[in-house]
Amino acid sequence: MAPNTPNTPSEGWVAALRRFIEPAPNIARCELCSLELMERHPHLIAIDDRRLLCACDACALLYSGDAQKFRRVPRDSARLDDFQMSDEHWAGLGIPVGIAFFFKSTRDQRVVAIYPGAAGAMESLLDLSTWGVLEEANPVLRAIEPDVEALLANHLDGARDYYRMPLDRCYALSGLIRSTWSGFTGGSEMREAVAQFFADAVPACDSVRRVAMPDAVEQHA
Amino acid sequence: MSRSDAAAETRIADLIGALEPLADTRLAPAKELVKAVLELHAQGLAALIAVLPAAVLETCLQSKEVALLLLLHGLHPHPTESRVRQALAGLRAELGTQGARVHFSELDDGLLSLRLEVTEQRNFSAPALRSEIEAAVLELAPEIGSIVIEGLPETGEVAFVPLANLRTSTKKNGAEHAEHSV
Repeated sequence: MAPNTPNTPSEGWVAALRRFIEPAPNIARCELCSLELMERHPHLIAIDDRRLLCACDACALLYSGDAQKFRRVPRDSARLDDFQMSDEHWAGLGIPVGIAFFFKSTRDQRVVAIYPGAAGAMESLLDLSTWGVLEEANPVLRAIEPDVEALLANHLDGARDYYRMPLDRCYALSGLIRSTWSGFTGGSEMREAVAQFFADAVPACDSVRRVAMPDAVEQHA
Repeated sequence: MSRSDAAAETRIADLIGALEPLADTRLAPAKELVKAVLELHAQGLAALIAVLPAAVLETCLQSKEVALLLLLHGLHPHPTESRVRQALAGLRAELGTQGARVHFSELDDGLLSLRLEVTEQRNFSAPALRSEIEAAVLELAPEIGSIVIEGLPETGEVAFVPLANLRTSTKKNGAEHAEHSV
């Protein structure tokens, strides 16, 4: 039996069957040096195109910083319990859905608002003055690191929750919403997924990369 | 040979080849089903083998179908490495006429490393040699996921030039090459 032509990788039929029914987990690699990564690894944001990259510890150290092309995405998130934002102010932002996140973009010199939905993430640019009013009422926003951290607002079904959230997790949430969205208003599966997201610890990197990133990149163009 | 007449292992490999590119999440329950059925069979077979005298099992292994069944479930009593060595031994005569010898180097988690030694300067095709070695090894050890053959160029002819000939040999191809052999 010769199942392989010279140009295909050599694999026995039993190995092929085992791999087929139990696919090996995708191994993430550092996008700068190709080193194999652990499940938990740093993420970087490229300032120029706002691309999210998986990185090894060494590259994350070496290539991130104020004078560099990349910024490292922090890990910690925090719920901002005494965040002040009136519903009028929220309405003034023109966000048509219940969940949105906001971050300062160094490149655009604007605050970018991203709101996830059925068709992926939509994006709008806010005037810095609009942001200034919010900052005035909530000094905590000044501490949010540009490009890599966001204010995540949850107004879904009457909630008024605010978080300081690393941007990779925001994108993960965006992907989650898109993949579970059904009907006109999102449906119960999406609501359960979102509730789980807020209840959970750091989501797997996988969901960030597979689902969320294309949104951000597409929308940027 | 029509598809239905093909050997079971060839059909399994072909069907996986047909399903794999679909990358459809709806395949997941079907995969689970195959896995569950395989596990049930493997457990039953393992229990049978456990009470079978070794000599009887060896006799059963004379049947190709039994050997394939045990290979499928990872229950073959002969370890992978010894089956690989057996396959390489079976290749010795044929490779010898081509002026090559293949050695076992390492077996690590489904990845087999072999080393090709070119004993005589001959003009043979590397892809053909690779297929021949792979087919022989995978027939006896189909659980191997990947084979690396050190000393075998990825493409083209095996261009072996003995050290003594480096100064005189300029031709890359041609049967006349043998005249430079040491």
